[in-house]
Amino acid sequence: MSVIATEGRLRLAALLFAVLLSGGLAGCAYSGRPALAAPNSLTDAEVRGIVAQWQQRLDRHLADEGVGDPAVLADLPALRSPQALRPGRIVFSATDIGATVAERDGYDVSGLLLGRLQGADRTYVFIVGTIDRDDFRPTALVDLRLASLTLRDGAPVWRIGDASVAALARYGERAEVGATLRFPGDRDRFRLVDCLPGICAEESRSGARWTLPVDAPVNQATARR
Amino acid sequence: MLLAGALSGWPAGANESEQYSLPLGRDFADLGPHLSKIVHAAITDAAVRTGDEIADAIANGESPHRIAELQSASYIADKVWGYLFVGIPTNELFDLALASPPVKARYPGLVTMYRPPASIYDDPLLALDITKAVRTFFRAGSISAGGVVFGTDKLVHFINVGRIYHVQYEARMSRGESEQTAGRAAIYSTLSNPFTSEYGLLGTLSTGIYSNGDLAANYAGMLFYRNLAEPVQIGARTLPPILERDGAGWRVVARPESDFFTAFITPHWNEALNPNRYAGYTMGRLQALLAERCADAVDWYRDPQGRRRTRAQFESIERELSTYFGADYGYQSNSGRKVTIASVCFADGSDEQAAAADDLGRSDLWWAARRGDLEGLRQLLPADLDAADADGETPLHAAVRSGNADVVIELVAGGADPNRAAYYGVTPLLLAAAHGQTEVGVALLRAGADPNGRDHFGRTPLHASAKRGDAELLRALLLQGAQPQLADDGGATPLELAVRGRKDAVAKMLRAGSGGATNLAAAGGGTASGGGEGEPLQEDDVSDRH
Repeated sequence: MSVIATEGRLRLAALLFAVLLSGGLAGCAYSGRPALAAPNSLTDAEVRGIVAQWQQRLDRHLADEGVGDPAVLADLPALRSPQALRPGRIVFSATDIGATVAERDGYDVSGLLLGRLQGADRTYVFIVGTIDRDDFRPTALVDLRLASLTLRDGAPVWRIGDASVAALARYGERAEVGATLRFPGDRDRFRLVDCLPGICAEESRSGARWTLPVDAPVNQATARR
Repeated sequence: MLLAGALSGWPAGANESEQYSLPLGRDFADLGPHLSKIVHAAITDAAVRTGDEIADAIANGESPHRIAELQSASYIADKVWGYLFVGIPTNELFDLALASPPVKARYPGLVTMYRPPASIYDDPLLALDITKAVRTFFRAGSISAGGVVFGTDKLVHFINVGRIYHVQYEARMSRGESEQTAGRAAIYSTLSNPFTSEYGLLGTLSTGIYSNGDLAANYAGMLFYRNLAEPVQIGARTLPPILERDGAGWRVVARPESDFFTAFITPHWNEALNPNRYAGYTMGRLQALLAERCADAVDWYRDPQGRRRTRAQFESIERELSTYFGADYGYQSNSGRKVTIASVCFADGSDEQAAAADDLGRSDLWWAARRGDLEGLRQLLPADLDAADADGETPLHAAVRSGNADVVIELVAGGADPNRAAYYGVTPLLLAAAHGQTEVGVALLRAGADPNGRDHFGRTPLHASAKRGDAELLRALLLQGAQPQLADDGGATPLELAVRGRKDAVAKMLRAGSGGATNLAAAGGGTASGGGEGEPLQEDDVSDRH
């Protein structure tokens, strides 16, 4: 038992040192409430730049976790949480894009996978929402648009759709009053719908609709493979 | 050793977290599997090390008394404590690890650990309060595991003070006292200690806070150490022992992917649902600071169906958490004014629940299946067993998510379609395989689930089992005709996933499985008589595992 007691003392000494050190670090890292961020006013180019960062993080995730295999999206950890109200939905999020302080400001971008298109190419379609953060809370859903990921010879090829101010406004009218802003919302019902030419999606509660033309410009992936 | 152990509980006692200030608009990562892996590794290391010591003692001809001491439940418990201490030495270090880029990268877009920029303990108006300095300096982050949000200081309490309780419990039991008396003595041995108790220097005296969550974590820790070698009761569940004797030493029988550890994490650890008792001089200001957060807190702590809870529901939760499933764990509350969601956020008497209509298309039967509530489900029969929700998930999918095989069996016996796919083409069997639910998966196979059903990524249940390294379900799938050569849309076969994930045992079975049941048997994956291709599985094909 004396050996154990010695081990205990050594652990205790290491513990006391570690606590003092890390307690000090923690005290430095988390102090004070920062000032407010500027209100949002994004151009289409700025939104595309933000969405491109989400796209790059998703590409990197596919490369790192699945060697490029999109099936890893089915294993996203959020789907396993017992807390999830809609664990059957696949959502990939990229947070703190453009943030000067993590969690305080910047943008959170989330893409809900709507499904895979039938055809020779394997094309996966997302509805991508961009949320503005200010003073440590989500303040506005500033953009919603479609994005498609096609794998050609193992390489990801992206198409990003245009914004629709009308669809965003229509969708926003169904938001739950008083609830913390989220995308996708707990009650949303997005689905792919038939339309030509291109890809269309609808949120059935609001009737809001988005289109991704077949000739939308291609964004080549930049993630390492 | 006890003194060292007692003092090692010091940082836990001095740290505070609160679950009123949570990351708005963000979701926590479920760290249950991550924590389970750490705890399982510690138990495995302890079993191996103890086995070596026992073998050495026998080889050296040490006394039977010494060998018996090494083989005792108390000795292995102490070893497990030592390895857990190395795994999670302090909550501050653990917080830093969780916030590191490698860990965060595994949970894209999710919060792994959260320290609020402005906690209710940060108020500048409390600057004259000397306990504020302690609360500010020693802070624990909030994390989520098993569906519960809690401070990482609870883990340190669980590991260290839980072991102190356990030592007391063992001592009392060795004197012939009853389980109940020994358990009570264990709790009150530290509650009366001026240094380690929630009343003393490391609780109310230094921080102004008597944390019921800390005490619940201590109590759960004691149960955990007992559960190493004996069954324990957590609510309605009886958890089988984590270890069993194996020759002269111990063998770990709990599987790392099971809830052998997360079963101990209960809402008692959440300091918003199980509120603290606060020193009177802080009460008014803390009430005001909680009031500022009421809208967010009520929105955050919705019920499992996504509805805002009422005051009565929050009060009911508080009452329920004031005991540990009926047992006293040292809970105390303020008698008059309180800092709780129920008392502060519903002060105007408003107590209405949001519209109860389930606009996700989930019936009462669906929710009973989701809860794994067999009796509740039976009372709702007959019903449409294949009615899907907004995401295409049927009651059978919901039952699979609950992990309750009995509910799954009840549903398929009642005629539920085991091959009904949800959104993205996910069948109940694929879901079971992805969650590592062997017993549920076998029940579905027996009910006629297609072992080769594919989702929109081209994955089969075999892909999911191979990726998890779930040898037992993978063997059952192969015996029921699952085709190991099928590749997913990315071109990966189950074998490639197993090799990539270094799941050697299942890789071996998959190589053998490609050659048929006889080769599978030769690879240690079962016998041809244990259920050949297309034949029903035998009763003993899957044991009832922890």
